Amino acid sequence: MSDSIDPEGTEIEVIHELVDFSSKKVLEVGCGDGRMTRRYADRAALVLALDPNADKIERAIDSTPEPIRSKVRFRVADIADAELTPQAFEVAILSHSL
Amino acid sequence: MHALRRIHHSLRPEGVLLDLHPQPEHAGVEVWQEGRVERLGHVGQEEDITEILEARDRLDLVEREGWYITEGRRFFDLLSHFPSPEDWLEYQAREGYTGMVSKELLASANRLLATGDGEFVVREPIRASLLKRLPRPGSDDPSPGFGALPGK
Repeated sequence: MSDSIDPEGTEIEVIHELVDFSSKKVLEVGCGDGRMTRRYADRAALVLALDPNADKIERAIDSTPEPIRSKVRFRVADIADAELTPQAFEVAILSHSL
Repeated sequence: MHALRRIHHSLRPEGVLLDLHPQPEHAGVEVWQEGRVERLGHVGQEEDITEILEARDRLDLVEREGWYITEGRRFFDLLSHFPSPEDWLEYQAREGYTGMVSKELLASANRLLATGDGEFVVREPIRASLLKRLPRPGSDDPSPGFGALPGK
């Protein structure tokens, strides 16, 4: 079903206009089913993607293609209480999550 | 607010935060069919709009307090395509979204889609903001430039 959201790729085009993900460590908050994660993770060095919804994280893991699996970690967590290393990331993404 | 501060803590001194959230407007509902676009109305989402405005207030506040500064902003429409209104309703329920449309709008969409191949499309206006992390005066933030912001 994710493919029915933004098949035009407008969102990822805008994101790449604003952020250079090349070799960056990325924290994504509110990753949902990983729809956006799958679209930029190939450029990043490492992605930690959080969402408090376990079903969505399960879908995110299942739908992550093999070539980017090694660099993406999906975790069921809320940013309010997730254990995060200080100053560990160059980029953070808040997607519909404030 | 707490989320924005936690993210600040986990970002490197030169780090950036990309925030994506809908504009405080109702998403549009359209039927696309044989090269034509029929605009049928809007998704009722008063609750969402209130939450969006509150989220913006939180972002504005952390910026005024000197945690971040906006470096770039873009606006775009996020389009979601569904074979039918029922597929959209199923998606809404599965994702836990609360926006709804009137029965009349659903009936109009189904009438149009019954006449041939087409799509039920929801057009959501989005704001993307790029914010640069700033050192936090008064903390143990070792970022370069700490204390170098006049008036902060």
